[in-house]
Amino acid sequence: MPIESGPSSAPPTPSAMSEPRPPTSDPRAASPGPGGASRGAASLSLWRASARVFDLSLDQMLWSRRTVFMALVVGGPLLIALVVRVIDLFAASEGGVQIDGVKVGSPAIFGLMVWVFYLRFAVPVLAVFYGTSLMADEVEDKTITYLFSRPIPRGSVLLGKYLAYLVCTLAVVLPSVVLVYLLILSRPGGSLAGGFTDLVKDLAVIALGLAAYGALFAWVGAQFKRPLLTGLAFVFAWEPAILVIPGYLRRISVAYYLQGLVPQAMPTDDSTVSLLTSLFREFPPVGTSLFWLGVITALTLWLAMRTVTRREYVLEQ
Amino acid sequence: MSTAKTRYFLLGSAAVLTAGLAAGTVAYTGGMPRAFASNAGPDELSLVPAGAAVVAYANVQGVMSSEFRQRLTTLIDDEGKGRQQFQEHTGIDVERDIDAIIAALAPGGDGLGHENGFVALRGRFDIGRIEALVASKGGQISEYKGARLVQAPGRADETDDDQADAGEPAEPEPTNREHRREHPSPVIALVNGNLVIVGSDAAVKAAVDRSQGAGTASISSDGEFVRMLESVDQNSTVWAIGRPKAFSAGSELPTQLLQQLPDVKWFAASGHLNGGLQATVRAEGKDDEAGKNMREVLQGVLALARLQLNAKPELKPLLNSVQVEGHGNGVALHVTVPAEMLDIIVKQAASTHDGHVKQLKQLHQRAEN
Repeated sequence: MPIESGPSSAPPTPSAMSEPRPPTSDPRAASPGPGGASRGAASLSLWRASARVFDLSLDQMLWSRRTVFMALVVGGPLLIALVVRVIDLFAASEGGVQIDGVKVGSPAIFGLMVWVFYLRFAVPVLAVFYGTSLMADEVEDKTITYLFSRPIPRGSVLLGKYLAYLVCTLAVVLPSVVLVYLLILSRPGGSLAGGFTDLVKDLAVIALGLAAYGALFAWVGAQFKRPLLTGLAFVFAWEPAILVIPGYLRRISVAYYLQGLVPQAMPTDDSTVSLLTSLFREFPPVGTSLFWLGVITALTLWLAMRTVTRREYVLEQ
Repeated sequence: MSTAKTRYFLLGSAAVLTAGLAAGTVAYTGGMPRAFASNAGPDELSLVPAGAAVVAYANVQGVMSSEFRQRLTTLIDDEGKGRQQFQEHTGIDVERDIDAIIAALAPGGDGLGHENGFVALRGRFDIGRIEALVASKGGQISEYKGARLVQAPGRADETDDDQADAGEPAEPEPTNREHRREHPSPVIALVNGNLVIVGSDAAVKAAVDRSQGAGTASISSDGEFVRMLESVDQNSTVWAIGRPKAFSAGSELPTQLLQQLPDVKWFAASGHLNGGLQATVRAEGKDDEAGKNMREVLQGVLALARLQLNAKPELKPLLNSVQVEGHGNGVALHVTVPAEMLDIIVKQAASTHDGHVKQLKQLHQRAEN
């Protein structure tokens, strides 16, 4: 919402809520205080208020510049899948697609794309960019006042926005995975039937990843001052580093539990990181992964809502 | 309420998701029309009975014209003696007359586990010439449902089926009977100018039946086989698909090997011959545990081989091309043998062979002394 220029940068005007008041220069006005007026005067339940915020945020989130970025992120694998099909058309007699001179089968290409493009890149990156901005953008654009001055629980603002993020990303990422599946596994030598169970599992894993990472970064966005940097450091520095270190440290990550659910084999190459990863590879059981992903999602979402409820946001002049 | 634009977007997204999942579900449940199947396989599959243990296919013209084969022929340099001998006995020139070969091996129905199978040759055959050649060597010619059946000289009356047909109560000497069971005489069926079937009497007759749309169901109706076939690259010059469990029943394979085989439910091997050889071997275990074991064994063997690379650095490109992948109950091994690597392999094999011959000669001399 406030991140956008044009219509989307205008203060929210939900019909179900009262008319917004103009922003004030008094920082205290933006913050009725922990457990302040908005909580006391809440006239809507948490879920009903979340639904209203969700409805309001979905439009703004879906038709924002961030969606262009999201389209580019998920459009990359689609483009590559199309290129693979074109190579098949023109180089069928040469044996089709090859990597380092080695012919690669359709299931392997699909598995590689799910791992590299979606689980290791698209899911965490989209979660970082969307999740950290759920509250941070409102603060940055000084529009949080309008939301906090409504007679709704403060937590519902974050919950509604989180749900909007989830619907928005799922609506873009999941169809992209399905299209890649159709393009890659309908190749000569591929089998739609053979890869179907993997597809279903992949869709579930990606949805779980978006939910867990999104909740985590929603909390990061509500709690920390530079949430984007923190999020990027977590995704591109912390997680890759601890996954190659033997021991229990890797359990303090989302990727560890996510990769335990992926049906395809983890791709490897000749790099040192890949060698270390394969050496210290350890996948938690499916039940454990599901349990901890659920815990991470619920806990960080609760922490984020608690932070939003209790925190006194001071708007800079 | 969300805007119409948002609603349309979400509906479109849901439609793509649903359509993809529906297509996958239809394919998974086997309802996808054959026209949409990625690999229907050669027409000769209709000759193969459902339940065959192993089915193999070779695009003969593809093999013969490949640089790989030409290089191999140059290296081995046997002047095509085997091909000449085959032509002398059957009148068929493998290099010119045959386009494709499909071979099938089915578990034997004799209760002893002896397999019966056939090889179907598609190409251009001079039936009159083949008949004349076989007759000149004393072979017998009969007819079965319009196909000319040619049997090897002196063995025509020795098959169990013939004995059964004639109602012979006489029991021949057990050793001879067992010998005939183990070595049934091959039968050649000249179905038409483009199709010849060679194999055991029962298998060939059943294949002739199926070529006319009669007899038992063909393997094309076996969903599991078709699924494996679809996983094979349709451009493969050669491929083989099999069920080791069916194959191993009553076989004479070593016990240790047999103990390992039941874990492999299906295997599919395929190769593309061009300048070199690109081969893929897939296997499916009975469960995820079996698949994991197979992957670990292959990875272990590969790691062991890589450790030996210092002694034979010339094999490094070959080992680097080997890739093991898989998930669930499956494993796949991809390997690429460049044409120049073939020279090294043949030389290695030749030197190993020479070494063994030398050792045998030394042992022989010691024994004599």
